[in-house]
Amino acid sequence: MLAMAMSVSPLLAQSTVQQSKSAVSPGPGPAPAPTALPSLQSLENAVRTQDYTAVQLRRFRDERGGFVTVQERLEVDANGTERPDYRITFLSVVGELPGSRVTVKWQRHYLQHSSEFFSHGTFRVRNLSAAVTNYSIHDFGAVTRAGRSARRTVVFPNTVDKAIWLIDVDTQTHVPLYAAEYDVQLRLLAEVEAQSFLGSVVPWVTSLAGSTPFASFVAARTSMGQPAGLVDPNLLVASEYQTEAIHVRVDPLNGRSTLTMSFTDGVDQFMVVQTPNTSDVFQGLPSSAPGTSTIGRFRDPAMSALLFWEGGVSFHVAGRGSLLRLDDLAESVLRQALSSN
Amino acid sequence: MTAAGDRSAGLRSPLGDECRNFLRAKLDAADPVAPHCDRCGAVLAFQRRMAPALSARPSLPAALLSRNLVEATLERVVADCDNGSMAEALRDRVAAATQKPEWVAPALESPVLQAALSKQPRTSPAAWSQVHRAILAEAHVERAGRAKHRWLLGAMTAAAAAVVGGVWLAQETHPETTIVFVDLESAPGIDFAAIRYGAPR
Repeated sequence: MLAMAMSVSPLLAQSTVQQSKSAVSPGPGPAPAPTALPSLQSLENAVRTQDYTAVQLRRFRDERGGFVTVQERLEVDANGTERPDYRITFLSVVGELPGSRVTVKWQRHYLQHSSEFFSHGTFRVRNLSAAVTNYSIHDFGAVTRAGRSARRTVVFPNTVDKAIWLIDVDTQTHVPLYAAEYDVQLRLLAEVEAQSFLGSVVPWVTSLAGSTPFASFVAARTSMGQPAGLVDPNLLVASEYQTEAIHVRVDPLNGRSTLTMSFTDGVDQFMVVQTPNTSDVFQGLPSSAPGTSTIGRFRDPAMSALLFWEGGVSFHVAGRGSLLRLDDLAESVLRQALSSN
Repeated sequence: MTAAGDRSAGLRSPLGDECRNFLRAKLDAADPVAPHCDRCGAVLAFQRRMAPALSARPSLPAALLSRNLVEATLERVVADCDNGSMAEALRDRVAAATQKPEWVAPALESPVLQAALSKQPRTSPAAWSQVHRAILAEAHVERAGRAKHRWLLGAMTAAAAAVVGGVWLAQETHPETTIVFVDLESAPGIDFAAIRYGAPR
């Protein structure tokens, strides 16, 4: 697919590289001209200013490399910030009958996690200055997507341990109508494809969010009652990443609070999640002898997840599968927890 | 040179050099050519008759494509080998290798070996007391030597203890924890996995 992108357009004989490292404006700028090529700035600006409603297909990759395609409706109500109001509604599972066991399962899954699909599950410029530093954007010509004129664009990272994004950007609004995530070996990891697009949205009453945002780690820890064992992660091994968001979520079933910190380099993300007042899941294992600590690690092309426990707090560090530095980050966070206990 | 077509000797005589050179040049000719001799003419005529048949590859009979035929052939080959001379030779050699040597069993029951194993060593009391006195004598010599340097050893031990204690108090020592990575076989049930993989399958 990525190779096809580079040869699909008969209109262009060569790609156009845009690396604008100057004149970065974090504030909402003017709407992009209809014929302007997409840039990281125009993509970030669209997040801040463009309302839209899209019916799209989201493809989930499983551990065996297969895909499940789910149809959803995304409504975005821009509010001038990089975190617009949004709502994702489950519609159907492609190939499944309404009311089937699979459909009900996915419907339940969307009720629980749909908010995270928009925040973490697709391409978005999360921090413009960091994105300009860490990525380059290349235009590969005109295409048609969801019945609209679009530009096929590839966003390349400056390091090999991050995802490559192929996006079809709507020419009029600079909203991505199609986003495909590839690893450095060009394996397709995730895909979101718009079937229809409307540049407006019907406002809705925003319900109370399940999680509460905070501006700093200290404020979040204070709201949780200052539990012992929480750690403000040191990002020495991932210095190009910076804090994107800090949330505290309370589980309605058991009242347990969880601190979620997400970090971004402008496009890519990883999370550090800490849950105090938990028991050690690795207790009793041979690797948990005195003087040793265990980090459970799962890695495949799509995801890296590292789990560990210290001082009554369970930690997990999660990010894309190619970001091998998360091993060092998890070890660093664990040593921070060990030294503070 | 035997005349072409002469079959009275049974085996056909080999082609002469002239015929061979002629046929090499003319066999693939598109137009019919006058033969060099009767034999060359017979070869050319045969080649013209057989060329259409040889150009078309005949199809295999369906019976030869049958899987049962292949399996039956393999079974027959295995059975024939099993009953052949090589199989018998291998069986004999394996039997000989696993057979115990004939001399082992009788040797274990030999009265000479039994007597040697049951014999108990005997030592005289005088010899044993002499060994006892020698050991005691060596112990007395060592004790006298140790007493001479005991005071020096004590002083050195006290000094080392003082140095180690001072270093330990001067530093904040923490036992270094070894971190072990354990690879998990399946994705954990975390939010990021729910985002990447969707609902559990």
